[in-house]
Amino acid sequence: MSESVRRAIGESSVYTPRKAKVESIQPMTPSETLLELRPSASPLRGSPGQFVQVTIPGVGECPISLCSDCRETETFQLCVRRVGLVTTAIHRLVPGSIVGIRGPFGTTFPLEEAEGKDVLLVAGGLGMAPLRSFVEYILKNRDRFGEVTLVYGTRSPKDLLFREEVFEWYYEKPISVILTVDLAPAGDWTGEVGPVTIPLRSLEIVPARTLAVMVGPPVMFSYVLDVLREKGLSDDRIYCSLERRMFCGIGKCGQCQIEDLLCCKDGPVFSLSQIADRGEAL
Amino acid sequence: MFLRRAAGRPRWLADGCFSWAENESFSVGLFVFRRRRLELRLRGRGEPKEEVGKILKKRDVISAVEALLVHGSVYAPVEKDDHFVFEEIERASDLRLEAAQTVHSAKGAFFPSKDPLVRFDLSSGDWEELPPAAPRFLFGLHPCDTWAMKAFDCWMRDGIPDDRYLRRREHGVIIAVQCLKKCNEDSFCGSMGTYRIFEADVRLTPMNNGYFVEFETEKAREVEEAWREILLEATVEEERELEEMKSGMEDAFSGAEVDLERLPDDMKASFYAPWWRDMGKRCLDCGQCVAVCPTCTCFAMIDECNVSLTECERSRRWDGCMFHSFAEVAGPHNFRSDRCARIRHRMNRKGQWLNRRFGVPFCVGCGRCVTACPVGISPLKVFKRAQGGTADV
Repeated sequence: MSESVRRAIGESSVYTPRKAKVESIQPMTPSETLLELRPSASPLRGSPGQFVQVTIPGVGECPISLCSDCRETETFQLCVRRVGLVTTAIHRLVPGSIVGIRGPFGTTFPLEEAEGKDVLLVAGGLGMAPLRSFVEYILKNRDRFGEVTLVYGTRSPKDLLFREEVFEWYYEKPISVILTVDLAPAGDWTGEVGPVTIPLRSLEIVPARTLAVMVGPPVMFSYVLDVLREKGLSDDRIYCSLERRMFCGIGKCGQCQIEDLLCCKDGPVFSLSQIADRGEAL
Repeated sequence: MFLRRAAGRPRWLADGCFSWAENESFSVGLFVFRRRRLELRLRGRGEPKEEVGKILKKRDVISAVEALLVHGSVYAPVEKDDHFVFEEIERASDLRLEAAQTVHSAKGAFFPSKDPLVRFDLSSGDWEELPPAAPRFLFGLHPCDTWAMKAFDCWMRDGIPDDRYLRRREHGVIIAVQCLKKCNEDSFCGSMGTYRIFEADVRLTPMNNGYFVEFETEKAREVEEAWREILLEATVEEERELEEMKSGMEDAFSGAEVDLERLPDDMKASFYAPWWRDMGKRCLDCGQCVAVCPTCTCFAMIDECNVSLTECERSRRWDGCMFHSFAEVAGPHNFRSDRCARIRHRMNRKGQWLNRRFGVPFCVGCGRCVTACPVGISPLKVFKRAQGGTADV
């Protein structure tokens, strides 16, 4: 094998998972659980916005976004919704179980671009999981950012993720938090009701110094985007994290291709100016 | 910064791939250089003796393959149920070097349809990496296959490289045979500019009574060594015949119907054209085009347990963007749920996105997909339509 190839590919295959131990696992909602993993050899060192491929031996592998800022920590957290085979198996894990991980893969949230600016975070449902890592990063470096606003919408109050943290932010106000739910049982809920676009529309922002990041289900993007554009935000100030089917995580399996971009390698965090003219993206 | 990367300069410029134009002039330049060298020799100006061309006589082909089999496995066209396919051969006599075109391309040598990656021991919870096995000699690739190999290389080396592909690729020695005319009536390599061998370790050019042999790379030395006793020195007549063959070849592939420079822009301009819908109505989603395509790289990773649930093997299998489940995610949400979007995706991958990104054609015009397609969908028709043609796609 030539030296250049040896240098490029390293010792172990990029397709071979490394081991990680489950530190803790705690249910957050009826369908979502929070998993904390400790890689056995070296820490993951992933940045907010990136994802890892999680293997459950005997079941399969699936991509999960990092939900903690683990650039300097020994462990990292994943928020997993039970939808398929692998995620159901993840829900059955117990502390001490061994899983496989590959990664971190993909691009990060605009950590540097957002410095010195107001940051508007829009989360829909499970989109809160990746955005929580960005909030953690912001809270660690709070003086580097201007006004930070989180608009977070879920189906119902019981679906709120990171409930305790979110309420802490809500009451302590290190960042402003606006919560909204699609359906609220009478009497229980004092926050907003309706889609995230409603509180977003009444929010006052200064487009010249604001940067927006949205993460949520595919159906949310176009509505939120309309509001952000109405408010005068230019496409290069809007970022979103996209979801696609993916296997390899390194831009080879072709499953996550969005026209000429690969979601796993050129994304999953894209600036809207990258994807605005790609009809398949949103 | 990571996020800006895709917006700036085309990636392939930074990664050292050739631009298309450079590629062309490189090949033409090499051709002119060889021609000049030959002219000098024919005029008797003399060159060192070891520069004299080598000939592999037709009757010696089998012994040539036998000599290779001593050194390692050989992956070559064989006959199977009235068709030709690439397979690892057991006996030299199985080789069908005269095969017009194989049903599948040679991509399976470095990118097997099933490639076991990891074996999990479910009782201990441990796992091990499975080493990538690959054939040593790829014998009988056509020019289109060598271009496809280049396209594969660009894709697999981009960003974080695919180590399993690269290990196999590095290990393999490519022995390509120049085509002198179209080998399949559906092929359009003349239009895609892929009828001359792009890169090969050993080049064979068919002559009346055998093959003119050129050793091109360091890896070819092993072949040269193995064939030392088998090859004959080319006579002046044979070298002249070679030149005639080559110029005849240029005529046979003339009349390109696609403007390659403009193709990515034209495909982009017609992305929302109504004729995609007609094609989507005809497409059957069978995915045969994807299986036979030499530049289709997509795969899925599948975990399979044994019956007693003590072991599990993860392998990657060829997958295809023509299948309904290809772009489906949990939710459920499907980003390309209709056939029109899927066939358009495949054609644009070949004609717009990847050729623009890497500067080499990602449709090599072999025509295998056209032959395989039950409803006669052809990339050539699509490219012509995108470039202003009016014929049905």
